[in-house]
Amino acid sequence: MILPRFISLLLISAMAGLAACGEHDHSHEHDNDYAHTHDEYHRLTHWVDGLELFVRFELHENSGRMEGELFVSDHHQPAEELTGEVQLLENGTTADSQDLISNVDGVFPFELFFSDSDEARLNVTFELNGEQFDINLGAVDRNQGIVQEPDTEDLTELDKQMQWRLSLESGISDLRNIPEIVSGFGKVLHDPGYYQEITSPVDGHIDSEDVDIVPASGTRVTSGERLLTVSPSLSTDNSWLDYQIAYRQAKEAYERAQRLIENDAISLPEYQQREREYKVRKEGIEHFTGGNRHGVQIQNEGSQLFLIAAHSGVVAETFITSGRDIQQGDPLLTLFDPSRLWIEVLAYRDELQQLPDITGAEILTGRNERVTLNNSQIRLVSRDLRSDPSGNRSKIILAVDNSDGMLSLNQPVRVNLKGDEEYSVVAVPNEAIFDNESYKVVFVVHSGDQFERRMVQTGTSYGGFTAITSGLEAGERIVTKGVYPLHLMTGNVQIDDDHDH
Amino acid sequence: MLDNLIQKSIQERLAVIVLTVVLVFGGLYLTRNMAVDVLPDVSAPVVTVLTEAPGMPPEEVEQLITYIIETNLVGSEGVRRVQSRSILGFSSVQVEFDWDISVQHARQITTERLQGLADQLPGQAGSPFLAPVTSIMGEIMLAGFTAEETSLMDLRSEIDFVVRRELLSMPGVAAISVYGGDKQEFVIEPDPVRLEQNGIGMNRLLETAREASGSISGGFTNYSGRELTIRGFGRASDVDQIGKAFIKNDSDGYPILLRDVASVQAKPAPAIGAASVNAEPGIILVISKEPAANTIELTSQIVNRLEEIGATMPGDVTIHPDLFQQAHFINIAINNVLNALLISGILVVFILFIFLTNWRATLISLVAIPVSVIISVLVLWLAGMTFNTMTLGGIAIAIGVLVDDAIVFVENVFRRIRENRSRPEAKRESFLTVVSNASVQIKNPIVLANFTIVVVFLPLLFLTGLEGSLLMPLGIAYVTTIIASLMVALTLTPAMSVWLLQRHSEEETKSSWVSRKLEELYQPVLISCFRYRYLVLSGVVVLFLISLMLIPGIGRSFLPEFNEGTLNVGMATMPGTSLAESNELGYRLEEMLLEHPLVISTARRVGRAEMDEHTMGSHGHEIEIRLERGNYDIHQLMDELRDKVSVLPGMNVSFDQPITHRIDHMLTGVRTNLAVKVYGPDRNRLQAISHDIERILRSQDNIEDILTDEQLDVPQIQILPDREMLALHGISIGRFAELVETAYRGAVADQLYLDPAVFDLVVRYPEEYRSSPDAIRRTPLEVENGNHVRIGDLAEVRISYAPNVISRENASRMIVTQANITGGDLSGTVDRLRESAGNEIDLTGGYVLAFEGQFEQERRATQTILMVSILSLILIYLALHAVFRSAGQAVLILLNLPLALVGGLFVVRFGSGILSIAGLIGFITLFGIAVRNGIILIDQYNELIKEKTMGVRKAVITGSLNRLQPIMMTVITTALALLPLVLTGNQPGNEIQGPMASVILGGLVTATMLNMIVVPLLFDWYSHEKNPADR
Repeated sequence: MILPRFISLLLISAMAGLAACGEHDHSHEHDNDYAHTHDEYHRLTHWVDGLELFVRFELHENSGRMEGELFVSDHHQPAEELTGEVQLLENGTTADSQDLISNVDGVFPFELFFSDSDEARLNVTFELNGEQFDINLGAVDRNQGIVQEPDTEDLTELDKQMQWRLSLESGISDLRNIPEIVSGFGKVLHDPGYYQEITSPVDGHIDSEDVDIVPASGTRVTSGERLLTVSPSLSTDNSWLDYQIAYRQAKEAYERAQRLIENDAISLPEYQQREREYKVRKEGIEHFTGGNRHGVQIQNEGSQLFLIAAHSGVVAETFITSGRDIQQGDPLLTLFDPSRLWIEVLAYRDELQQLPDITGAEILTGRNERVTLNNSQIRLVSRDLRSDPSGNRSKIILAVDNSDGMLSLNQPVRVNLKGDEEYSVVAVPNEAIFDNESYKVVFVVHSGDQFERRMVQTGTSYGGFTAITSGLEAGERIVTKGVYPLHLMTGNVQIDDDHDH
Repeated sequence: MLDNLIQKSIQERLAVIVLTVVLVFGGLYLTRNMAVDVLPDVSAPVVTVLTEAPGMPPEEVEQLITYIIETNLVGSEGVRRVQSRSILGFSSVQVEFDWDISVQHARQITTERLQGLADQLPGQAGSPFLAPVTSIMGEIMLAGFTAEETSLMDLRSEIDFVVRRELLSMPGVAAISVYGGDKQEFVIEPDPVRLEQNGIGMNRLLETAREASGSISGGFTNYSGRELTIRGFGRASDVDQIGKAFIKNDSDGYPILLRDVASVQAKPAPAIGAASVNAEPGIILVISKEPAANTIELTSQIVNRLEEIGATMPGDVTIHPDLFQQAHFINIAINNVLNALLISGILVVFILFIFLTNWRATLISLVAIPVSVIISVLVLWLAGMTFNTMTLGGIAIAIGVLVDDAIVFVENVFRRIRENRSRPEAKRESFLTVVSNASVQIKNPIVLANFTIVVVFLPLLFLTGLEGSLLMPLGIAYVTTIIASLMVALTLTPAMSVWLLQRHSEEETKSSWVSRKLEELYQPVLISCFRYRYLVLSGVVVLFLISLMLIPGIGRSFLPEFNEGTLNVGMATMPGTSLAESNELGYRLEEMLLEHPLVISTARRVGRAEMDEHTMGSHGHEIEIRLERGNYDIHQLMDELRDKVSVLPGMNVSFDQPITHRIDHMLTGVRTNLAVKVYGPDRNRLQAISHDIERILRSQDNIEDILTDEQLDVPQIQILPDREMLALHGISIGRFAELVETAYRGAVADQLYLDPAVFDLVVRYPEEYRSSPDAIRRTPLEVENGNHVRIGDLAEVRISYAPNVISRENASRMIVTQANITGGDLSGTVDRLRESAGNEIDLTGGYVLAFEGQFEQERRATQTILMVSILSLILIYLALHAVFRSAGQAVLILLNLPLALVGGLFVVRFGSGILSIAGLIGFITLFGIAVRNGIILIDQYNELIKEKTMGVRKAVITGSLNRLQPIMMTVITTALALLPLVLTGNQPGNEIQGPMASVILGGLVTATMLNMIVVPLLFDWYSHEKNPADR
């Protein structure tokens, strides 16, 4: 019975082996060996322009030996081809120095010795890209070293070389103006205050040969420029001819009355009657020719009337067709001033409530075209008086200065309305913030390899920056690129092997 | 019958030899294209049903797609288990059939069940389709493409529409998954503001997009005696033409074109995966072969085809055909095995010559080896099996027996010839009679010995499932080779003996120097042992007991570690990580791996490919590393790399070897001997119940490695429509869903044919509207009156957590808690756990507990193997009894078994310390050889006793001395045949044969030594006990 038992035993073992052999080493959790929070190292970090000098060293009290590495980053990457030395200065004199010789790009190991004094200054002089640098990294106490442990629980270290590998970048949070912005869309309209409708002063018609000289819609016209020619009707009531005949008859009657009154041939009331009639006729005719009743000046050239532009502007629309009979007062064309326009904007009412005053606007006319208007270039004509049919949006009308001609009539535009509460706030690039749904996080840089995960409150975003309303002070250095790997490293993230075939 | 066969073979020796030559050359010719593989085809009858549903969240995929497919398949004919995974935009349902159902039948059953199912699925889901038939070892190579200037989008199009099609058309290629690159589509990105300003609704826009392109067919006309087709050209071929599609006239009568309200561009589709080659963005093709295809040949054809295609591609495109090729390993493995066999052959020749000092006899023994092997390979070829490490292993370990058959035979003929010559001239028999009698005489022990070996292997042939698929070919190859060897011994060897030894019979023959020396050494030892019989036997028993005590210290594994020359690195970062961030981390990891001097190249895949079985999210990476060949410890290298990359933050990196990795996956269902599965509807409740289970398991002393399958939640943006607000704006939920889907996921309006490519024309809102939850809130949607309202005014938009993957089994959600029962009674422990769970856990509401795992299989397998082992033992015993007509002698032979065990156990314990299935087979083989030697010895004793020329003791000593030479020849040749396999055990290809050979070698040494002492002692003792007068 030994054989079957043994075979069974062995094959059972095989079965168990079968069970065991599928076991990858899946059990090891996310390795956090690299994420120490405290160690025996001392640190000094110095940032200047695009350079970062970070020294991490150990102190050997008894021997006065200082052993460490200098990491030099040039625009967040290891500095190459750097020559110079690291010095330990005691009372201004060099206690010890060592040439900078890198073992890998950007990393310079060193070993320096204190001499007599217990206090010294660590200094680095070097040449990089043809430029000389002499940088004081800071004071070092022979016994204490640099006690620079940031007072925070959420401190994590990430090796400098790993930072380079991950292309981690940092920058200073500074004060910026981040305005409240409400966006909407709308249309460019003419400013009614700078809009003129030119109507026909008389009954008449437009001769077909005259149509060609009528300015087309969108034509810019200057004051005194002839706009069009009208041929007055000869026989209709109130025709230009009737006015003229009546005027001439009144004028002749008045001139005759003047002569006759000198000879006392007519009575004074009769003379006054003639004079009144003449003035009325004269005013009447001047009303056509010299006045501005129809938006133009009129030149009388025999059988035709030339309509002359009284103001400069742009022809918005024309209503003239060849051979058309026109009545007195019929619209002929419209002129507007392109430098004075209105923009009618539809914006969501709830958002607008965040914007008590509108102090500027950004008009987006195309995907990458925008016109920025400041407070002096816009005037609020009306707001919140009308709603769109959806009921959620209000109409706002802005009068804008379009002297530079960037906007065109009837142009559909997107508008970012700026509020007047532009204030200096701590602002960080949008990429510096990790949004963890219920809260937001930035990573504050404490030294070349120490990062603090810090929760912040954010405000408005504008121009690629977000206002930090609490949790961060201006001047603090934060990580601006490579935030996600830092989050993975610090956010108590559980990572299992989820591989599947 | 067998006697007749031998007689006929001797009579028709020329025919036998010619037939053998024909068989050998015919066999070589026919099997020259025999498929070569790493392992036998171990594909279970599993059919995977895949359904793409771009953008659909896992929960909806589960409810609207997976559930429907599962419920249609559960309970189908032969279905053993249905498992599924639902991830973002993809459903994978794996249907496992009973092992006796063929893959083709399984696919037919599945296809029938899926018919008409597509209509029940939501519109955005594609039709369910079956993953191609490939085995787990089907992924034969990875080919990469990188470019310096050509954009990844253009490269991807070239690969999708030229390279992939070309390769798929090659016979033997089953499937190609394309990872990475930017899949091109034409995208219409409407500006919702402009749509509103112009009063254009989404439907009008979609209609315009659909009508932007179309073929124009005017039938035909007859003109001037000819028939002319009237055809227009309306198909758009670029974005400009689509942009000019007319939408409507504005209030002034001017036409509004598509480009006035939308941007139209060729853009990359939202990616679900990416790839890189040597830390550079690239495209990777995963090429799978059909199960029957020859890996080496197909790989070479693919590489050539890629070279040809490469010549037609832009000059800056580099093709990397060797990122991973199974063929590399197979070639090296097969070469190593063949080298080992060649060296074995040479050593065997050497030993035969030393013992027999006769080149003719050596030739006869030697010819038996290739002939038996070729016959065996021919049989395997006819059975449709492949050349792989398992079949080769079977043949390799059979070689010892092959030589043995020939040696025993030739040696017997030799001895008979010598005896014949020593007789007086008158009593001498003719040469033919001598050979014939010698052959007939030795037939019985040889047949019996071979029968025993085959019977010992029987349990192996009764294994089912995966183990059966994997080990059966080894067993078949071994048994086939043994039978072939027997046939050769009964036909070719007598024929050749007559042919070659005729002249030899006239020469003076005497034992070789080696034989004489051995006999001189052996005889005094044996006589001394008779003197100290009790002491010797007690020593043997003690040795056996000591060896048994070694068993607990031996580790176990299924298969030995392969040394593949390639590594497979799995990397996972946090689920829910975007593809861009995940990819960045992947590049860093690759850069670090490439810094190691032994790493030649890396090929990384992240996420998944379209229509691919993998259900990895964008946080999962798989990297294949090609290594320099050399003499290094793969585990040490893995440790070095593991240390190196451990500093990378936010990832979990695991190292493995590709083939081992795939085998592991194949074996991975539940990896422990106990799996407690909880089935039920609610995920949170399932999780809670699993934690209760975990608590109960932890309270048991004999349970370790407890691990609950935690389902991680990932953040998702949820849009919860406010029905009142929707009503206020006159919009239905359906319409709202349609608009939201079009805005974010996009609606495919049409397809553009740019020969040979076909691209989707998709309408989707610009990126800025889905860049953040706030952007989504502010996205305007068209409502009833043509106005636009923000999504935030119609629905609550929030971030919440949901599972990134939902696993189900047999149409129910399921969570597994795995554990290993390390001691005590498995069944008893499970019964106890069942009782505790029943008392302590509330399962109301449709929750079900199931206790499964290897313990069940172990129990079943143990029963089967125990039964078969007992049957084998009975068969062997009956066979021995039938030949020796003695129960005692049969038992005596079986006593060889524990003797064989001793050396094997010592080798395993003090060698690798691990007993794999290979070592186990080594033991089985060893038992066969040990029993065989016992048979040959006792047969000789009986024969001598039957001649009645000497007493038992004398007969035992003479018989032992007579059999010393053949036994030692057998042992030494077998040992030397195995030696190259033992010495090169860590070389690729020898991983399975190495441990097997070590066990056999170790066992052989002790078994032979003990056999030559213990069997004579026991036989002598037994004979005296039975018949004291014989002393």
